[in-house]
Amino acid sequence: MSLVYITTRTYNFVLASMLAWGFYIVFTLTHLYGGTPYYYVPVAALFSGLLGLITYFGVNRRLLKTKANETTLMMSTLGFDLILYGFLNVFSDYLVNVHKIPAKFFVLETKDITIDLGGLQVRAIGLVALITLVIAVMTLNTFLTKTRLGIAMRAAIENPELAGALGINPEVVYVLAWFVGGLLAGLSGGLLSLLTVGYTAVGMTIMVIFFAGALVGGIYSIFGSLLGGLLVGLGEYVGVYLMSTYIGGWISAYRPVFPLIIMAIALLTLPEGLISLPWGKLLKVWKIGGVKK
Amino acid sequence: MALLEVRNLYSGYGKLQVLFNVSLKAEEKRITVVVGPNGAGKTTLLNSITGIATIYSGEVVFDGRPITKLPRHSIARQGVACVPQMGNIFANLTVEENLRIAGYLLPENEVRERFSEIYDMFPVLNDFRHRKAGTLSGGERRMLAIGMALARKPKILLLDEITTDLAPIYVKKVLDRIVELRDNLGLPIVLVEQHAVRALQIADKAYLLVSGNVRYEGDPQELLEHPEFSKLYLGVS
Ligand SMILES: Nc1ncnc2c1ncn2[C@@H]1O[C@H](COP(=O)(O)OP(=O)(O)O)[C@@H](O)[C@H]1O
Ligand SMILES: [Mg+2]
Repeated sequence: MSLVYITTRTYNFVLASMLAWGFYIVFTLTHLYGGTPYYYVPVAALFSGLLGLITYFGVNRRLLKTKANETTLMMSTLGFDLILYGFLNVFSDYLVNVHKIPAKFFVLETKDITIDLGGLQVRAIGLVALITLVIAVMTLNTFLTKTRLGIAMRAAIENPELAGALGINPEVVYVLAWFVGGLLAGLSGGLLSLLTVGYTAVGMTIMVIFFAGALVGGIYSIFGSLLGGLLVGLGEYVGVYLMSTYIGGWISAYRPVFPLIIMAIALLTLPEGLISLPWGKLLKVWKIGGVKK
Repeated sequence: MALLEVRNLYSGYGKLQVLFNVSLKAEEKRITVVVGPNGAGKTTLLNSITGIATIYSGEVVFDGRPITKLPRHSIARQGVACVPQMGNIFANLTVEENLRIAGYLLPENEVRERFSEIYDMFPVLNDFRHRKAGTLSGGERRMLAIGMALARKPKILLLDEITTDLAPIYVKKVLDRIVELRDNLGLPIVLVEQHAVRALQIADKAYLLVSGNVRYEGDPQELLEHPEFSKLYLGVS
Protein backbone atom coordinates (compact mmCIF):
# COMPACT_ATOMS: atom_id res chain seq x y z
CA MET A 1 0.00 0.00 0.00
CA SER A 2 2.56 2.51 1.11
CA LEU A 3 4.95 1.19 -1.49
CA VAL A 4 2.67 2.18 -4.32
CA TYR A 5 1.68 5.43 -2.69
CA ILE A 6 5.15 6.75 -2.15
CA THR A 7 6.35 5.80 -5.58
CA THR A 8 3.43 6.90 -7.67
CA ARG A 9 1.57 9.30 -5.35
CA THR A 10 -1.46 7.08 -5.70
CA TYR A 11 -3.71 5.82 -2.94
CA ASN A 12 -4.32 2.42 -4.28
CA PHE A 13 -7.88 1.20 -3.95
CA VAL A 14 -7.21 -1.55 -6.43
CA LEU A 15 -5.61 -3.43 -3.55
CA ALA A 16 -9.12 -4.24 -2.37
CA SER A 17 -9.85 -6.19 -5.51
CA MET A 18 -6.43 -7.77 -5.49
CA LEU A 19 -7.12 -9.09 -2.01
CA ALA A 20 -10.51 -10.41 -3.00
CA TRP A 21 -9.09 -12.02 -6.12
CA GLY A 22 -6.50 -13.64 -3.86
CA PHE A 23 -9.36 -15.14 -1.87
CA TYR A 24 -11.13 -16.40 -4.94
CA ILE A 25 -8.15 -17.86 -6.67
CA VAL A 26 -7.20 -19.92 -3.66
CA PHE A 27 -10.81 -20.95 -3.20
CA THR A 28 -11.43 -21.92 -6.81
CA LEU A 29 -8.22 -23.81 -7.28
CA THR A 30 -8.67 -25.67 -4.02
CA HIS A 31 -12.15 -26.61 -5.13
CA LEU A 32 -11.19 -27.70 -8.60
CA TYR A 33 -7.87 -29.38 -7.99
CA GLY A 34 -8.02 -30.32 -4.32
CA GLY A 35 -5.04 -30.37 -1.98
CA THR A 36 -4.42 -27.83 0.71
CA PRO A 37 -5.15 -24.19 -0.05
CA TYR A 38 -1.53 -23.32 0.67
CA TYR A 39 -0.45 -24.65 -2.72
CA TYR A 40 -2.42 -21.94 -4.41
CA VAL A 41 -1.37 -18.94 -2.36
CA PRO A 42 1.65 -18.25 -4.60
CA VAL A 43 -0.64 -18.39 -7.64
CA ALA A 44 -2.86 -15.80 -6.01
CA ALA A 45 0.15 -13.61 -5.27
CA LEU A 46 1.38 -13.80 -8.85
CA PHE A 47 -2.07 -13.11 -10.23
CA SER A 48 -2.43 -9.98 -8.12
CA GLY A 49 1.04 -8.88 -9.07
CA LEU A 50 -0.11 -9.14 -12.66
CA LEU A 51 -3.22 -7.14 -11.82
CA GLY A 52 -0.87 -4.51 -10.41
CA LEU A 53 0.97 -4.34 -13.71
CA ILE A 54 -2.29 -4.12 -15.63
CA THR A 55 -3.46 -1.28 -13.44
CA TYR A 56 -0.21 0.56 -13.87
CA PHE A 57 -0.02 0.22 -17.62
CA GLY A 58 -3.75 0.56 -18.19
CA VAL A 59 -4.58 3.46 -15.94
CA ASN A 60 -1.99 4.90 -13.65
CA ARG A 61 0.79 5.43 -16.17
CA ARG A 62 -1.25 7.53 -18.53
CA LEU A 63 -2.49 9.72 -15.72
CA LEU A 64 1.01 10.17 -14.29
CA LYS A 65 2.13 11.24 -17.76
CA THR A 66 -0.48 13.96 -17.86
CA LYS A 67 0.59 15.03 -14.37
CA ALA A 68 -2.81 14.32 -12.85
CA ASN A 69 -3.26 15.37 -9.24
CA GLU A 70 -3.58 13.01 -6.30
CA THR A 71 -7.35 13.04 -6.20
CA THR A 72 -7.63 12.06 -9.84
CA LEU A 73 -5.13 9.27 -9.33
CA MET A 74 -7.01 8.02 -6.29
CA MET A 75 -10.38 8.15 -8.00
CA SER A 76 -8.97 6.32 -10.99
CA THR A 77 -7.89 3.41 -8.82
CA LEU A 78 -11.29 3.42 -7.17
CA GLY A 79 -12.90 3.26 -10.59
CA PHE A 80 -10.61 0.50 -11.74
CA ASP A 81 -11.23 -1.33 -8.50
CA LEU A 82 -14.96 -1.26 -9.20
CA ILE A 83 -14.32 -2.72 -12.63
CA LEU A 84 -12.25 -5.53 -11.16
CA TYR A 85 -14.90 -6.01 -8.50
CA GLY A 86 -17.46 -6.35 -11.25
CA PHE A 87 -15.35 -9.00 -12.96
CA LEU A 88 -15.00 -10.82 -9.67
CA ASN A 89 -18.78 -10.91 -9.29
CA VAL A 90 -19.10 -12.23 -12.81
CA PHE A 91 -16.47 -14.82 -12.00
CA SER A 92 -18.27 -15.96 -8.85
CA ASP A 93 -21.57 -16.17 -10.75
CA TYR A 94 -19.80 -18.27 -13.31
CA LEU A 95 -18.51 -20.58 -10.58
CA VAL A 96 -21.98 -20.92 -9.11
CA ASN A 97 -23.78 -21.49 -12.37
CA VAL A 98 -21.34 -23.50 -14.42
CA HIS A 99 -19.32 -25.39 -11.87
CA LYS A 100 -22.01 -25.50 -9.19
CA ILE A 101 -19.55 -24.26 -6.62
CA PRO A 102 -21.08 -22.18 -3.80
CA ALA A 103 -18.87 -19.21 -4.46
CA LYS A 104 -20.90 -16.35 -3.02
CA PHE A 105 -19.85 -17.11 0.53
CA PHE A 106 -17.23 -19.61 1.40
CA VAL A 107 -15.14 -20.78 4.29
CA LEU A 108 -11.80 -22.44 3.79
CA GLU A 109 -10.96 -22.86 7.46
CA THR A 110 -11.85 -26.53 7.34
CA LYS A 111 -9.27 -27.15 4.65
CA ASP A 112 -6.49 -25.86 6.85
CA ILE A 113 -3.88 -28.29 8.08
CA THR A 114 -3.60 -28.84 11.81
CA ILE A 115 -0.20 -29.20 13.25
CA ASP A 116 0.76 -30.96 16.43
CA LEU A 117 2.69 -28.73 18.78
CA GLY A 118 3.60 -31.09 21.62
CA GLY A 119 0.14 -32.50 21.94
CA LEU A 120 -1.45 -29.13 21.23
CA GLN A 121 -3.49 -29.13 18.04
CA VAL A 122 -3.03 -25.82 16.27
CA ARG A 123 -4.23 -24.66 12.91
CA ALA A 124 -1.35 -24.01 10.57
CA ILE A 125 -2.56 -20.65 9.33
CA GLY A 126 -1.44 -18.61 12.32
CA LEU A 127 2.07 -19.94 12.05
CA VAL A 128 2.19 -19.72 8.30
CA ALA A 129 0.87 -16.17 8.30
CA LEU A 130 3.40 -15.10 10.89
CA ILE A 131 6.31 -16.74 9.10
CA THR A 132 5.19 -15.32 5.77
CA LEU A 133 4.93 -11.84 7.26
CA VAL A 134 8.40 -12.05 8.77
CA ILE A 135 9.89 -13.39 5.55
CA ALA A 136 8.08 -10.81 3.45
CA VAL A 137 9.26 -7.94 5.63
CA MET A 138 12.81 -9.22 5.75
CA THR A 139 12.92 -9.80 2.02
CA LEU A 140 11.49 -6.39 1.30
CA ASN A 141 13.93 -4.80 3.70
CA THR A 142 16.93 -6.61 2.25
CA PHE A 143 15.78 -5.72 -1.23
CA LEU A 144 15.38 -2.04 -0.40
CA THR A 145 18.63 -1.61 1.51
CA LYS A 146 21.06 -4.13 0.06
CA THR A 147 20.38 -4.45 -3.66
CA ARG A 148 21.16 -1.73 -6.12
CA LEU A 149 17.72 -1.91 -7.68
CA GLY A 150 16.15 -1.47 -4.24
CA ILE A 151 18.34 1.50 -3.43
CA ALA A 152 17.54 2.92 -6.86
CA MET A 153 13.89 2.56 -5.97
CA ARG A 154 14.30 4.52 -2.76
CA ALA A 155 16.37 7.09 -4.62
CA ALA A 156 13.72 7.55 -7.32
CA ILE A 157 11.07 7.88 -4.62
CA GLU A 158 12.96 10.68 -2.90
CA ASN A 159 14.11 12.64 -5.92
CA PRO A 160 12.99 11.38 -9.34
CA GLU A 161 14.87 14.13 -11.15
CA LEU A 162 18.22 13.38 -9.64
CA ALA A 163 17.60 9.66 -10.05
CA GLY A 164 16.93 10.28 -13.72
CA ALA A 165 20.14 12.27 -13.98
CA LEU A 166 21.98 9.20 -12.67
CA GLY A 167 20.47 7.08 -15.42
CA ILE A 168 17.74 5.45 -13.35
CA ASN A 169 14.59 5.03 -15.39
CA PRO A 170 11.73 5.99 -13.04
CA GLU A 171 9.36 3.83 -15.08
CA VAL A 172 11.17 0.70 -13.90
CA VAL A 173 10.61 1.77 -10.32
CA TYR A 174 6.89 2.37 -10.81
CA VAL A 175 6.38 -0.95 -12.54
CA LEU A 176 8.23 -2.75 -9.78
CA ALA A 177 6.26 -1.01 -7.06
CA TRP A 178 2.93 -1.94 -8.62
CA PHE A 179 4.01 -5.51 -9.15
CA VAL A 180 5.38 -6.00 -5.64
CA GLY A 181 2.38 -4.18 -4.17
CA GLY A 182 0.04 -6.51 -6.04
CA LEU A 183 2.09 -9.53 -5.09
CA LEU A 184 1.82 -8.72 -1.41
CA ALA A 185 -1.89 -7.98 -1.68
CA GLY A 186 -2.52 -11.33 -3.39
CA LEU A 187 -0.39 -13.07 -0.80
CA SER A 188 -2.34 -11.48 2.03
CA GLY A 189 -5.64 -12.27 0.33
CA GLY A 190 -4.64 -15.87 -0.23
CA LEU A 191 -3.64 -16.35 3.39
CA LEU A 192 -6.60 -14.45 4.76
CA SER A 193 -8.93 -16.75 2.87
CA LEU A 194 -8.03 -19.38 5.44
CA LEU A 195 -8.94 -17.07 8.29
CA THR A 196 -12.19 -15.38 7.40
CA VAL A 197 -15.25 -15.89 5.31
CA GLY A 198 -14.79 -15.09 1.66
CA TYR A 199 -17.24 -13.06 -0.41
CA THR A 200 -16.80 -10.76 -3.36
CA ALA A 201 -16.71 -7.55 -1.32
CA VAL A 202 -14.28 -8.94 1.23
CA GLY A 203 -11.47 -6.82 -0.15
CA MET A 204 -13.16 -3.56 0.76
CA THR A 205 -13.70 -4.63 4.33
CA ILE A 206 -10.09 -5.62 4.76
CA MET A 207 -8.91 -2.53 2.94
CA VAL A 208 -10.36 -0.39 5.68
CA ILE A 209 -7.98 -2.06 8.12
CA PHE A 210 -5.04 -1.73 5.77
CA PHE A 211 -5.80 1.84 5.00
CA ALA A 212 -6.20 2.73 8.64
CA GLY A 213 -3.02 0.81 9.38
CA ALA A 214 -1.07 2.71 6.78
CA LEU A 215 -2.32 6.05 8.02
CA VAL A 216 -1.70 5.21 11.66
CA GLY A 217 1.79 4.01 10.88
CA GLY A 218 2.67 6.82 8.52
CA ILE A 219 1.88 6.53 4.83
CA TYR A 220 5.38 7.48 3.74
CA SER A 221 7.03 4.59 5.51
CA ILE A 222 6.81 0.93 4.73
CA PHE A 223 7.74 -0.15 8.23
CA GLY A 224 5.42 2.39 9.74
CA SER A 225 2.47 1.01 7.84
CA LEU A 226 3.29 -2.55 8.80
CA LEU A 227 3.45 -1.52 12.43
CA GLY A 228 0.26 0.44 12.03
CA GLY A 229 -1.47 -2.48 10.34
CA LEU A 230 -0.49 -4.75 13.18
CA LEU A 231 -1.67 -2.26 15.76
CA VAL A 232 -4.99 -1.62 14.07
CA GLY A 233 -5.58 -5.31 13.50
CA LEU A 234 -4.79 -6.17 17.09
CA GLY A 235 -6.65 -3.11 18.34
CA GLU A 236 -9.72 -4.24 16.47
CA TYR A 237 -9.71 -7.72 18.00
CA VAL A 238 -8.86 -6.57 21.49
CA GLY A 239 -11.23 -3.63 21.28
CA VAL A 240 -14.14 -5.72 20.09
CA TYR A 241 -13.38 -8.39 22.66
CA LEU A 242 -13.23 -5.96 25.57
CA MET A 243 -16.27 -4.03 24.46
CA SER A 244 -18.36 -7.12 23.96
CA THR A 245 -17.48 -8.46 27.40
CA TYR A 246 -18.19 -5.19 29.15
CA ILE A 247 -20.90 -3.64 27.05
CA GLY A 248 -22.52 -6.57 25.35
CA GLY A 249 -22.23 -8.80 22.34
CA TRP A 250 -24.17 -6.47 20.08
CA ILE A 251 -21.15 -4.23 19.81
CA SER A 252 -19.28 -6.71 17.63
CA ALA A 253 -21.67 -5.87 14.80
CA TYR A 254 -19.89 -2.51 14.67
CA ARG A 255 -16.55 -4.12 14.30
CA PRO A 256 -15.56 -2.49 10.98
CA VAL A 257 -15.86 0.87 12.68
CA PHE A 258 -13.02 0.11 15.09
CA PRO A 259 -10.16 0.62 12.67
CA LEU A 260 -11.62 3.95 11.76
CA ILE A 261 -11.84 4.99 15.39
CA ILE A 262 -8.25 3.95 15.98
CA MET A 263 -7.27 5.83 12.88
CA ALA A 264 -9.07 8.96 14.01
CA ILE A 265 -7.43 8.86 17.44
CA ALA A 266 -4.02 8.26 15.93
CA LEU A 267 -4.35 11.05 13.39
CA LEU A 268 -5.42 13.47 16.08
CA THR A 269 -2.53 12.65 18.36
CA LEU A 270 0.20 11.76 15.87
CA PRO A 271 -0.63 13.32 12.52
CA GLU A 272 2.65 12.18 10.95
CA GLY A 273 2.07 8.57 11.92
CA LEU A 274 3.77 6.30 14.42
CA ILE A 275 6.97 6.41 12.47
CA SER A 276 7.39 10.04 13.50
CA LEU A 277 8.01 9.00 17.10
CA PRO A 278 11.65 9.27 18.10
CA TRP A 279 12.22 5.53 17.86
CA GLY A 280 15.97 5.80 18.26
CA LYS A 281 15.57 7.57 21.59
CA LEU A 282 12.85 5.22 22.76
CA LEU A 283 15.04 2.25 21.97
CA LYS A 284 17.95 3.77 23.87
CA VAL A 285 15.81 4.47 26.90
CA TRP A 286 14.54 0.96 26.68
CA LYS A 287 18.03 -0.50 26.49
CA ILE A 288 19.33 1.61 29.35
CA GLY A 289 16.31 0.62 31.36
CA GLY A 290 17.09 -3.00 30.60
CA VAL A 291 20.67 -2.66 31.75
CA LYS A 292 19.64 -1.02 35.01
CA LYS A 293 17.43 -3.93 35.83
CA MET B 1 35.54 18.44 -32.88
CA ALA B 2 33.93 19.38 -29.61
CA LEU B 3 32.46 16.52 -27.58
CA LEU B 4 29.57 18.69 -26.47
CA GLU B 5 28.13 21.44 -28.55
CA VAL B 6 25.24 23.75 -27.83
CA ARG B 7 23.99 25.55 -30.93
CA ASN B 8 21.83 28.68 -30.97
CA LEU B 9 19.89 27.63 -27.94
CA TYR B 10 16.70 29.33 -26.80
CA SER B 11 15.41 27.73 -23.61
CA GLY B 12 13.70 28.31 -20.29
CA TYR B 13 10.96 26.88 -18.12
CA GLY B 14 7.48 26.69 -19.60
CA LYS B 15 6.63 30.25 -20.62
CA LEU B 16 9.65 31.80 -18.89
CA GLN B 17 12.40 32.18 -21.45
CA VAL B 18 15.85 32.37 -19.87
CA LEU B 19 18.48 31.78 -22.57
CA PHE B 20 18.70 33.64 -25.88
CA ASN B 21 20.78 32.29 -28.73
CA VAL B 22 23.42 30.66 -26.58
CA SER B 23 26.16 28.62 -28.23
CA LEU B 24 28.88 26.74 -26.38
CA LYS B 25 31.54 24.16 -27.13
CA ALA B 26 33.18 21.86 -24.61
CA GLU B 27 36.21 20.10 -26.03
CA GLU B 28 38.00 17.00 -24.87
CA LYS B 29 40.86 17.51 -22.42
CA ARG B 30 39.62 21.03 -21.74
CA ILE B 31 38.10 22.80 -18.77
CA THR B 32 35.37 25.13 -19.95
CA VAL B 33 34.24 27.71 -17.41
CA VAL B 34 30.95 29.59 -17.58
CA VAL B 35 30.75 32.63 -15.32
CA GLY B 36 28.09 35.23 -14.84
CA PRO B 37 26.07 36.99 -12.17
CA ASN B 38 23.29 35.38 -10.20
CA GLY B 39 20.23 34.75 -12.38
CA ALA B 40 22.19 34.97 -15.64
CA GLY B 41 20.97 31.52 -16.68
CA LYS B 42 24.06 29.41 -15.96
CA THR B 43 22.10 26.67 -14.23
CA THR B 44 19.48 26.82 -16.97
CA LEU B 45 22.20 26.22 -19.54
CA LEU B 46 23.20 23.00 -17.75
CA ASN B 47 19.54 22.07 -17.32
CA SER B 48 19.06 22.43 -21.05
CA ILE B 49 21.91 20.02 -21.69
CA THR B 50 20.70 17.42 -19.18
CA GLY B 51 17.10 17.48 -20.36
CA ILE B 52 15.45 19.35 -17.49
CA ALA B 53 14.70 22.77 -19.04
CA THR B 54 12.34 23.42 -21.96
CA ILE B 55 14.12 23.93 -25.26
CA TYR B 56 12.28 26.19 -27.72
CA SER B 57 14.82 26.09 -30.49
CA GLY B 58 18.44 25.26 -31.11
CA GLU B 59 20.32 22.04 -30.62
CA VAL B 60 22.45 20.15 -28.14
CA VAL B 61 24.87 17.71 -29.76
CA PHE B 62 26.87 15.22 -27.71
CA ASP B 63 29.44 12.92 -29.20
CA GLY B 64 28.13 13.68 -32.69
CA ARG B 65 24.53 12.88 -31.84
CA PRO B 66 21.69 15.30 -31.06
CA ILE B 67 20.41 14.79 -27.50
CA THR B 68 18.01 17.72 -27.53
CA LYS B 69 14.80 15.75 -27.20
CA LEU B 70 15.99 12.77 -25.15
CA PRO B 71 14.62 12.05 -21.68
CA ARG B 72 16.90 12.76 -18.76
CA HIS B 73 17.93 9.20 -18.00
CA SER B 74 18.86 8.54 -21.63
CA ILE B 75 21.09 11.60 -21.65
CA ALA B 76 22.74 10.31 -18.47
CA ARG B 77 23.26 6.96 -20.19
CA GLN B 78 25.19 8.64 -22.99
CA GLY B 79 27.79 9.59 -20.38
CA VAL B 80 26.74 13.10 -19.38
CA ALA B 81 27.23 13.56 -15.62
CA CYS B 82 26.03 16.68 -13.88
CA VAL B 83 26.44 17.80 -10.29
CA PRO B 84 23.47 20.12 -9.88
CA GLN B 85 23.66 23.20 -7.72
CA MET B 86 20.77 22.07 -5.56
CA GLY B 87 19.18 18.73 -4.75
CA ASN B 88 22.29 16.82 -5.70
CA ILE B 89 22.19 14.08 -3.06
CA PHE B 90 19.55 11.72 -1.68
CA ALA B 91 18.99 12.81 1.92
CA ASN B 92 17.27 9.56 2.93
CA LEU B 93 20.06 7.32 1.71
CA THR B 94 23.33 6.78 3.53
CA VAL B 95 26.53 8.27 2.19
CA GLU B 96 27.63 4.92 0.82
CA GLU B 97 24.23 4.18 -0.71
CA ASN B 98 24.43 7.54 -2.47
CA LEU B 99 27.79 6.62 -3.95
CA ARG B 100 26.58 3.16 -4.89
CA ILE B 101 23.55 4.47 -6.68
CA ALA B 102 25.57 7.15 -8.45
CA GLY B 103 27.29 4.33 -10.30
CA TYR B 104 23.99 2.74 -11.27
CA LEU B 105 25.03 2.38 -14.90
CA LEU B 106 28.35 0.68 -14.15
CA PRO B 107 29.12 -2.82 -12.94
CA GLU B 108 28.87 -2.96 -9.16
CA ASN B 109 32.50 -3.97 -8.50
CA GLU B 110 33.83 -1.21 -10.68
CA VAL B 111 31.93 1.35 -8.62
CA ARG B 112 33.24 -0.09 -5.37
CA GLU B 113 36.80 0.24 -6.64
CA ARG B 114 36.21 3.97 -6.90
CA PHE B 115 35.04 4.29 -3.32
CA SER B 116 38.55 4.26 -1.82
CA GLU B 117 39.65 6.92 -4.27
CA ILE B 118 36.71 9.10 -3.26
CA TYR B 119 37.25 8.46 0.45
CA ASP B 120 40.93 9.36 0.05
CA MET B 121 39.91 12.70 -1.34
CA PHE B 122 37.25 13.37 1.28
CA PRO B 123 38.04 11.39 4.47
CA VAL B 124 34.94 12.83 6.15
CA LEU B 125 32.79 10.84 3.79
CA ASN B 126 34.51 7.66 4.92
CA ASP B 127 33.85 8.52 8.56
CA PHE B 128 30.18 9.17 7.83
CA ARG B 129 29.78 6.26 5.42
CA HIS B 130 26.74 4.83 7.15
CA ARG B 131 25.09 8.10 8.06
CA LYS B 132 22.04 9.43 6.26
CA ALA B 133 23.22 12.04 3.79
CA GLY B 134 20.53 14.39 5.12
CA THR B 135 22.50 14.77 8.34
CA LEU B 136 25.61 16.14 6.59
CA SER B 137 26.62 19.79 6.62
CA GLY B 138 26.44 21.92 3.46
CA GLY B 139 30.12 21.40 2.69
CA GLU B 140 29.98 17.67 3.33
CA ARG B 141 26.99 17.35 1.06
CA ARG B 142 28.86 19.13 -1.69
CA MET B 143 31.75 16.68 -1.24
CA LEU B 144 29.35 13.77 -1.50
CA ALA B 145 27.84 15.21 -4.67
CA ILE B 146 31.28 15.53 -6.22
CA GLY B 147 32.12 12.01 -5.10
CA MET B 148 28.93 10.80 -6.75
CA ALA B 149 29.95 12.41 -10.03
CA LEU B 150 33.36 10.73 -9.81
CA ALA B 151 31.80 7.34 -9.09
CA ARG B 152 30.11 7.44 -12.47
CA LYS B 153 33.02 7.36 -14.89
CA PRO B 154 31.31 9.90 -17.16
CA LYS B 155 32.39 11.04 -20.60
CA ILE B 156 31.82 14.66 -19.59
CA LEU B 157 31.40 16.34 -16.24
CA LEU B 158 29.11 19.33 -15.72
CA LEU B 159 29.61 21.03 -12.36
CA ASP B 160 27.27 23.76 -11.09
CA GLU B 161 28.81 26.01 -8.42
CA ILE B 162 30.45 23.11 -6.67
CA THR B 163 32.79 25.24 -4.59
CA THR B 164 29.94 27.01 -2.80
CA ASP B 165 29.76 25.97 0.88
CA LEU B 166 33.21 24.37 0.76
CA ALA B 167 35.91 25.34 3.22
CA PRO B 168 38.90 27.02 1.47
CA ILE B 169 41.16 23.96 1.81
CA TYR B 170 38.54 21.88 0.05
CA VAL B 171 38.03 24.47 -2.68
CA LYS B 172 41.69 24.09 -3.54
CA LYS B 173 41.52 20.30 -3.28
CA VAL B 174 38.48 20.09 -5.53
CA LEU B 175 39.89 22.45 -8.15
CA ASP B 176 43.20 20.55 -8.12
CA ARG B 177 41.28 17.33 -8.62
CA ILE B 178 39.42 18.82 -11.56
CA VAL B 179 42.72 19.71 -13.22
CA GLU B 180 43.89 16.14 -12.52
CA LEU B 181 40.78 14.70 -14.12
CA ARG B 182 41.47 16.68 -17.23
CA ASP B 183 45.16 15.78 -17.36
CA ASN B 184 44.94 12.10 -16.41
CA LEU B 185 41.67 11.05 -17.97
CA GLY B 186 41.34 13.70 -20.63
CA LEU B 187 37.87 14.37 -19.27
CA PRO B 188 36.12 17.45 -20.61
CA ILE B 189 34.69 19.52 -17.77
CA VAL B 190 32.20 22.35 -17.80
CA LEU B 191 32.47 24.40 -14.66
CA VAL B 192 29.80 26.94 -13.80
CA GLU B 193 30.79 29.48 -11.16
CA GLN B 194 29.45 32.71 -9.81
CA HIS B 195 32.65 33.39 -7.85
CA ALA B 196 34.73 33.35 -10.90
CA VAL B 197 38.36 34.24 -10.40
CA ARG B 198 39.64 30.94 -9.05
CA ALA B 199 37.74 28.93 -11.61
CA LEU B 200 39.07 31.07 -14.44
CA GLN B 201 42.61 30.39 -13.24
CA ILE B 202 42.28 26.70 -14.08
CA ALA B 203 40.14 27.21 -17.20
CA ASP B 204 41.15 26.53 -20.79
CA LYS B 205 38.22 28.40 -22.21
CA ALA B 206 35.76 30.87 -20.73
CA TYR B 207 32.25 32.13 -21.37
CA LEU B 208 30.60 35.11 -19.74
CA LEU B 209 26.84 34.82 -19.52
CA VAL B 210 24.74 37.89 -18.69
CA SER B 211 20.92 37.99 -18.76
CA GLY B 212 20.75 34.86 -20.87
CA ASN B 213 23.18 36.10 -23.52
CA VAL B 214 26.79 35.13 -24.14
CA ARG B 215 28.79 38.34 -23.71
CA TYR B 216 32.25 36.89 -24.01
CA GLU B 217 33.78 33.73 -25.40
CA GLY B 218 37.49 32.99 -25.44
CA ASP B 219 40.65 33.04 -23.41
CA PRO B 220 40.03 32.98 -19.62
CA GLN B 221 43.00 35.24 -18.86
CA GLU B 222 41.62 37.87 -21.21
CA LEU B 223 38.21 37.64 -19.63
CA LEU B 224 39.76 38.48 -16.25
CA GLU B 225 40.88 41.78 -17.78
CA HIS B 226 37.74 42.33 -19.86
CA PRO B 227 35.96 45.61 -19.02
CA GLU B 228 32.53 44.01 -18.69
CA PHE B 229 33.91 41.36 -16.35
CA SER B 230 35.50 43.97 -14.07
CA LYS B 231 32.31 45.97 -14.15
CA LEU B 232 30.33 42.90 -12.98
CA TYR B 233 32.79 41.55 -10.49
CA LEU B 234 34.82 44.43 -9.07
CA GLY B 235 33.33 45.39 -5.77
CA VAL B 236 31.32 42.17 -5.78
CA SER B 237 33.99 39.76 -4.69
N1 LIG C 1 13.39 25.23 -12.13
C1 LIG C 1 13.06 26.48 -12.50
N2 LIG C 1 11.78 26.77 -12.84
C2 LIG C 1 11.43 28.02 -13.22
N3 LIG C 1 12.28 29.05 -13.29
C3 LIG C 1 13.57 28.83 -12.96
C4 LIG C 1 14.02 27.54 -12.55
N4 LIG C 1 15.36 27.63 -12.29
C5 LIG C 1 15.70 28.91 -12.54
N5 LIG C 1 14.64 29.64 -12.95
C6 LIG C 1 14.66 31.04 -13.35
O1 LIG C 1 15.55 31.16 -14.44
C7 LIG C 1 16.31 32.34 -14.35
C8 LIG C 1 17.79 32.00 -14.44
O2 LIG C 1 18.17 31.26 -13.31
P1 LIG C 1 19.45 30.33 -13.25
O3 LIG C 1 19.62 29.62 -14.51
O4 LIG C 1 19.33 29.51 -12.02
O5 LIG C 1 20.61 31.39 -13.06
P2 LIG C 1 22.06 31.21 -12.46
O6 LIG C 1 22.34 29.75 -12.30
O7 LIG C 1 22.95 31.88 -13.46
O8 LIG C 1 22.09 31.94 -11.15
C9 LIG C 1 15.94 33.01 -13.04
O9 LIG C 1 15.04 34.06 -13.36
C10 LIG C 1 15.24 31.93 -12.28
O10 LIG C 1 14.21 32.47 -11.47
MG1 LIG D 1 22.76 28.66 -10.71
